[in-house]
Amino acid sequence: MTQIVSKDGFVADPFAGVVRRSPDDHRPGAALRLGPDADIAALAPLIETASLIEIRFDSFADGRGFSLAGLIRRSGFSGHLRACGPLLVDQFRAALRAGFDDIELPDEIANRQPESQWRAVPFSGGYRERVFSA
Amino acid sequence: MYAYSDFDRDFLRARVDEFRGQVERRLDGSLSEDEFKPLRLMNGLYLQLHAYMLRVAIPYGTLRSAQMRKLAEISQRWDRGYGHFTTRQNIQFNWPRLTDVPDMLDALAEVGMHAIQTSGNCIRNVTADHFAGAAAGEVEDPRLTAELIRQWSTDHPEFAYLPRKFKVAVTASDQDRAVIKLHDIGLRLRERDGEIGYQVVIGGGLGRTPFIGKEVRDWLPKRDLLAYLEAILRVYNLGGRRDNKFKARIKILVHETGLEELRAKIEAEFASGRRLLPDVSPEITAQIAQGFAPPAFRDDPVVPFSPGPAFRSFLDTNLHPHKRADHVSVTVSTKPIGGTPGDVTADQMHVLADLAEQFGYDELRISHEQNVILPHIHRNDLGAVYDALAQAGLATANIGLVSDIIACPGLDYCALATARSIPIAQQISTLFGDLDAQADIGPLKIKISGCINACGHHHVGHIGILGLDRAGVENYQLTLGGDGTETATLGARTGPGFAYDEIVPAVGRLIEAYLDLREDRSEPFLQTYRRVGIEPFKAVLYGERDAKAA
Repeated sequence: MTQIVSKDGFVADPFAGVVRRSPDDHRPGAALRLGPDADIAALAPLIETASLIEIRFDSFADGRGFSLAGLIRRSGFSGHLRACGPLLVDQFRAALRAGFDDIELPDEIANRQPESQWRAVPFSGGYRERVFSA
Repeated sequence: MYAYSDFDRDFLRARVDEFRGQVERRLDGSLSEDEFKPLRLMNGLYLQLHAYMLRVAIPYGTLRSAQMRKLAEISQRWDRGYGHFTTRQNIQFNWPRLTDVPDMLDALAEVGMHAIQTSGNCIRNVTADHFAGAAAGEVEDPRLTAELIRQWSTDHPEFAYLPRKFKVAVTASDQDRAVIKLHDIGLRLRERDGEIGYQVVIGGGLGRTPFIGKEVRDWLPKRDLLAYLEAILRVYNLGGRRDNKFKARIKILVHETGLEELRAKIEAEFASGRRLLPDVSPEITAQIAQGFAPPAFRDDPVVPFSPGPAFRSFLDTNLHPHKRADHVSVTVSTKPIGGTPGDVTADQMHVLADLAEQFGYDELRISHEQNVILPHIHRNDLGAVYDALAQAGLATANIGLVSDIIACPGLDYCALATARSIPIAQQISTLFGDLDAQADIGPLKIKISGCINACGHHHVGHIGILGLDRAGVENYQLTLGGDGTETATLGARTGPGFAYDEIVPAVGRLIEAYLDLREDRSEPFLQTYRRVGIEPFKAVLYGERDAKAA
């Protein structure tokens, strides 16, 4: 089982029951699940029409998903973007700043890093946003 | 000098609180050791052979007196009364207790210092020419660029879990004192038709697979800097290898992909990203520019003086020309004969802080050669500065000479080391203890690493020494002709290595050979080596017959 964590804490999955599809099996308007090696440029037509995009993290130490999120947001996608995998409380702020709306955690992580820890993360702006603020 | 804004100070306090929480969450089991490790590393905390080690960032090697005093205080209160300056312009404390570290970070934050991103697979502390803002011939102060990169890269949401560490160096002069061709990204400021921009070099690095960096852009307009860095980092984050940590640096990506193909990817990413990335905030640019405005230099006429012999040799060796004729930059050697390169005691730190405050416009620098620099000293103050340094054991006149050795901590401290480095440096320094003899040998850079990771930069030493472990016995390989400057070259291996008690005599033979081979005193070691090649040196190392066989 898994647990969704968003800025509001541990929440029920608003996309519960929606079928996730891989790029090979995609159809317009469906939820798209991508691996950490996805080629965002090649997937542009699918991304445009997806209702939800999930990016899989196999390990918290593999930061590719943060760049994928950046590319997807840059392509103009304004729908729901989710990180799926064993990310840490300590990566929550970066995940949201990179463009994710929430994280789907394996229960093992959610149990060890309870909701109170996720809710305690401060969301003040970062250096990067400040450097580019007009 | 750049003073931290409220934003910087708030950020530092929040980071210290966060780390305090991370230590607690490690202790209560919320974080596993594997999960805690990258978090502590990104806060500069290593687990070494005998203890934890805290690596504190000295951004682009620049310090104020109050910051140097704080380092002294920290070393006395929580460590053993000394600190170790490193080849990355940082300082390391070798004996902190884990539970004291949050308090040490609090103390650092009081003076706008921290240990953020001094380790981990992220964009590390940015380094720069140690004579920045003082030397003649700069396009502009490279710290303007380095500080902007510090702000942009600190806590960057996308680039904290890269395939491997990532190091950026900046110079603004044709003379490269920042080793830019041996960094993941090297930037050289240049001017074209009245406009300021950069030469961009990528994929340099030392370690087990050394590469000289390759030029990816000969001209990048200044306004495009961060967009271009983001493009390089994004291509690397997505494309760098994650299957083998020894092949994960960008130098391997450059090597395996090929420069042309990688450049095309970077340029495509840059073209897409730049359209959407806003310009750097003018307020930030102005704040940084103000922070590095030159001090109000004193205009007193220079009074001639006649120094005694020891002071004379200090003046001959440890001064670097300043952009103003009435000032000089003074390099303070952390390498007394027989000492540990880079180690400075708390008392010495106080002396350096006092001198900077009284005579040096409150500025200090740490060089990648592990020395301390007073960048702006009026010539009339040289006598007072020298006397104070001499009293504190800091007046060794050996800058750029055979005993001004770079050495990594080696097997005396480091968990990765395979051999001792510091005792080799100490023995070489003692062998050539006579400073007049050193001056006669002339400019010579010896660099020692205690393992293949090359923290002692041995690949770019005129004489490089690499300590390895051969079946449980220390063995030292020699490389010759390395050069970390604008004429960057990797040293060539001489042949089989030497045992612990053979390596120092072998270095002695190399230097004897050089003295025989050089045309005259005006031909330094590196130039002689380039003229005569490696063979005559192999002959004295291994004997005539072995040299032919090798």
